[in-house]
Amino acid sequence: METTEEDHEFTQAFQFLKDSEFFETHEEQGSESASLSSLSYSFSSKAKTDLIIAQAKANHFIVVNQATQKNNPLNGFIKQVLWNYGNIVPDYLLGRYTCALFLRISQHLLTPQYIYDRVKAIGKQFRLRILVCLIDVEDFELALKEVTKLCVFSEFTLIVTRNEKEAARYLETYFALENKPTDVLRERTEQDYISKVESALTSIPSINKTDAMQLIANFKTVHALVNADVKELSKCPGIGPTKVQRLKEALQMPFRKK
Amino acid sequence: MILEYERLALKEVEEQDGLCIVGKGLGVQRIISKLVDNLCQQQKLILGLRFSKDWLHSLEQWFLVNQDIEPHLYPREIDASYSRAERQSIYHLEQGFLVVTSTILVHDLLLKVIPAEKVSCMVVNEAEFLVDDSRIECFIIRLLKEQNKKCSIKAFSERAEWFTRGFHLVEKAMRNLKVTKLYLWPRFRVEVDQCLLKSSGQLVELEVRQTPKMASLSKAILEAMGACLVELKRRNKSIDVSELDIQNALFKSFDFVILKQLEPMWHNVSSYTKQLIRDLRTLRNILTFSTKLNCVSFFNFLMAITQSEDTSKSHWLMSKTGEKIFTFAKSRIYVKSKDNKDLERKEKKPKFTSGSSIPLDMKVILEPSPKWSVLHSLLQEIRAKTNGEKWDEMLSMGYGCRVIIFVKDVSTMIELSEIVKDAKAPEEYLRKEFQKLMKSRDEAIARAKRLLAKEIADSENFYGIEPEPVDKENVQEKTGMDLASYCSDEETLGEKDSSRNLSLQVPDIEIVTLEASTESRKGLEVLESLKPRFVIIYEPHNCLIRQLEVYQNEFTELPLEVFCLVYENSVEKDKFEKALEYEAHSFERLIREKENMVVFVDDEHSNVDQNREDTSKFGIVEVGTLNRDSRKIGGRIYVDMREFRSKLPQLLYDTGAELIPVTLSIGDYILSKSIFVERKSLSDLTSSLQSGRLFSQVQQLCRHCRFPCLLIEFPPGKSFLLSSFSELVKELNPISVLSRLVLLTIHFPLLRLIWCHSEYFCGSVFAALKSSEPIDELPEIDSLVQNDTDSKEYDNYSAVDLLLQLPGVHERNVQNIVNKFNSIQELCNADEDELETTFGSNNAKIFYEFVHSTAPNLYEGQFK
Repeated sequence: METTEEDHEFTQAFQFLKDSEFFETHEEQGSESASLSSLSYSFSSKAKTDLIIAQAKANHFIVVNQATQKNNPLNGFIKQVLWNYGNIVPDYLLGRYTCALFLRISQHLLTPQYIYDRVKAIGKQFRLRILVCLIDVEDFELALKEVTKLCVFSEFTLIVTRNEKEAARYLETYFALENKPTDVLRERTEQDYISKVESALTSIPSINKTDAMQLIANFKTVHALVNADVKELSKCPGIGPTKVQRLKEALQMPFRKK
Repeated sequence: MILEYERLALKEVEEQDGLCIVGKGLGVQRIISKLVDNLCQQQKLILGLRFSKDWLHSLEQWFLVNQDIEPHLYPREIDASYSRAERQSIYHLEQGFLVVTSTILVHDLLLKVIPAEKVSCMVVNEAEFLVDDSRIECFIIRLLKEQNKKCSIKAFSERAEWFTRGFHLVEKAMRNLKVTKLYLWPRFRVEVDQCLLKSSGQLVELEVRQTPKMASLSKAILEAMGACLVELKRRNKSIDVSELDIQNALFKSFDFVILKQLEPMWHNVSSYTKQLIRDLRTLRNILTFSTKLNCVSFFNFLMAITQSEDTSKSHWLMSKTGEKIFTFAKSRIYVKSKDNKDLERKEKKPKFTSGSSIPLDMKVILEPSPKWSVLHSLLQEIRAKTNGEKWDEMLSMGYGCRVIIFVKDVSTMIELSEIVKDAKAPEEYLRKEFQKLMKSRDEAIARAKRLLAKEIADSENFYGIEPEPVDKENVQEKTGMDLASYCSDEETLGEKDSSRNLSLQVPDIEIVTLEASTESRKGLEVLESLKPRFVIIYEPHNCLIRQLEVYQNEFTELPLEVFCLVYENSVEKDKFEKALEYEAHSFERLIREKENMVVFVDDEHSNVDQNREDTSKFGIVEVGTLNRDSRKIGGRIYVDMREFRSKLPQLLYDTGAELIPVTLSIGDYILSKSIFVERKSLSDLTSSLQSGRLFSQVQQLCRHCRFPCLLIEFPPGKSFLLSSFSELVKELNPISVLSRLVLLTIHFPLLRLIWCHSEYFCGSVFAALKSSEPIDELPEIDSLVQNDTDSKEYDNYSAVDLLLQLPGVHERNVQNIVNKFNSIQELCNADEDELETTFGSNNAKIFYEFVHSTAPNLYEGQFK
């Protein structure tokens, strides 16, 4: 009776070990070449996989690599968009032109070769290739440098983050924005008056949020502020001589010297 | 004239290069001036570092007074307005004292425009900044020393406390300065003490009692700070609490201490803790201003604070103590009359000409600052002592003026110049200030009402409700009148400002502003030029007290009486005493450190290359894991001139790269033919993603090279997180920084991102990238460099940056604007038609409205 229970516990413990990512990564390495050489290596039928990929490419949901990312806690954080497992070459398929690989620095330290193989396998298949790198150890510099170099020369876009939630957020955002135009990047978006003033004034070095508020509260309009002289400026609490100097420089000095 | 200890200090530093730390107010300026004077007489080329324009001006004055130097040797400031050829010709005169803008000096040293072997001496002012080896000044000294071993370096500082904020900072500074000697001149040094004791004036410290309301106000603020501290300790068990008490929290250095402790784990620090640190900073400001400002301006200040603070986050603001602070601040201005009927009898009700706007149940008190009345009686006493003939007698003795009142900032000066007129003035002054406050409130209420009325009218289809008749004319009239009287006051004040023209007007009362940044120079200058009989120190000022001592010893024939006004049992007093103690303590520590210091000795025989290796080792120590071979960069790198403000070029230089400073139109660094890098710090990234500038920069970058890189540099300790915790919980936000960055990479799949948490890391990544490219393969530089006329395009970067942040201004029309208008001021004063031609009609309208619309009311919810 007791022995069987122990046995059971042992298998449980072992199972847990199997579930952990370290175990998986080793296994992956072996199976990687197989899975990459033929897409049909799968638990489900090839037809189903094709359907999933087709849907993903039509921007219905994110496809998560069944073989490599099955137990990645990251998946749990993908909440804003739908996702599904499938058999794909990259770790995440984020639309028609976009794919992503995921790498933990701790994993990279254990199996440095892994990421090179994955990157090589993807080659130039997608227009936008992303490598999401999660920093989960303190001693990451050397590894990150290596990954950066790899990304630059094999034309991957590197995303670095420290927390899984944010990593998931990147994936969601890439998925959601794939077909969006660049308008947001070219023009400034509307804000309310106070934040406009704030962002304008705080662009001057050494002027902070509180100073900006003090200034606009004292002068009421930007027009009055721009035309204020040194004495009026220094009357605002917290605006010392350095700040007055900087303000004058930005507001009243010419853009270019003649 | 120069005092005995100053002469000793000068002799020491002239004999052997070194770092000279002098106590505050003991006249480091005079030592430097004398030193430069002596050096100039030898007709050699001398360079100055960290000398401000102001400083040079006083130096010039010194030269004029002493008249032992020919005018062509006078200090000269060299900035961007000099062309390269002009600079070269100045350098080759090989004499005089030149203060060259740092970036230009680096440029000239790297390209060997300046004949380094001809530079005989480098004088460094404010050497405390050189503890940080990322400063450009350190780079300058390194370059100079490498090119000219014999160049001597003399550094001065009067902020001893800066050297004790961490471990071995003095040693670090000395290593950066490449000097081996440390000279300390604290106030308690025997030579100084003996010298200053010879003739000491009379100092009377007048303790002024705070009003009960002021006392309870500062108590409440301290309470709030205490609560923040307790919370901070509770939430962060790992930090060392020994230094975190309320006494230290009064000083700015407190932030420094706490940030230093939290830095290594900043990404794990909760937003709650960060807010607590911010709160402490805000509270400290409030505390300082609570004694400094009069009741009305203080209230004004508090209101602005509430506006800038995020009320949902800030902890003290919504707490009970926070409420207390506001109640006390308000109670100094007015009370609800029903609560305080007894007060009504005591206080005479001030008569308001425009009293209509004040709510009926409000009783205006306007508590004057207690120091005002003391100041009045003091002035009267002085007048009594020195009236009539006695004063003439004194004038003949050589006194220049009767009283100098020293204050710490311009706003206090303006306030006092009103106050000292006569005994009634304070009341009048406060009343005026209060009226201003009320008016802004009235205007806001009127506007709100108008808006409200309009909304109702809109929704009810103009059903019967007339907008409240707002007496616009009346308001405007008042404004006009008030402003006029205000202006006239300003005129009588004349040029009594802290600056030049101090000697005009009747030699009676002078109010002089000594601001923290210039106090060490201005104090003595003012005293020497005015020669007062009495001095009143309105706010305690430790630097000034020493300067008075020095002055007294210089002019022993003119006895001086000094009165210092300080609030009894107040934070102001605490701070003053603590600051003195702190400085003495710092010096003691420095003396101990000096005893067992590891002195950096530059080995005469080692060649330059070895030197470089050594210093690059220092860099490596901090990174730890990086192996050394990979840090070697061969070949040349183009670096944008503006980049020299950061540490990165210096680190690249360490790795052996040859830097070529140029003004690049695309990117910030060009590593090779195919790798161009645009560097953005996190804050830059945010603003340039918002303004659309990054988009066009990246577009340019992608057109010109194969591997365009965007380097994102995070501030130390705050690595790799673009969104806050709260943002991640919410839904996707298409305009957040993260989304914008994602969108940018979607549209530029060629763009490579490099993420850096420190400059050291940056340097090693650059090395790694450069090493896999063929050496010395750089693109034709001509196509990338802005030609000379273009590089003059924007001289005033802060103005252009600001311009790009204004509504209606875009990357596309900015060029037009800069061509058409001279400055932001000119732009804001232009009328709508003028704007339309350069902006386009829509943008012109947006811009015009932004400039001329009134800020929304900051006093919402007050005065209910």
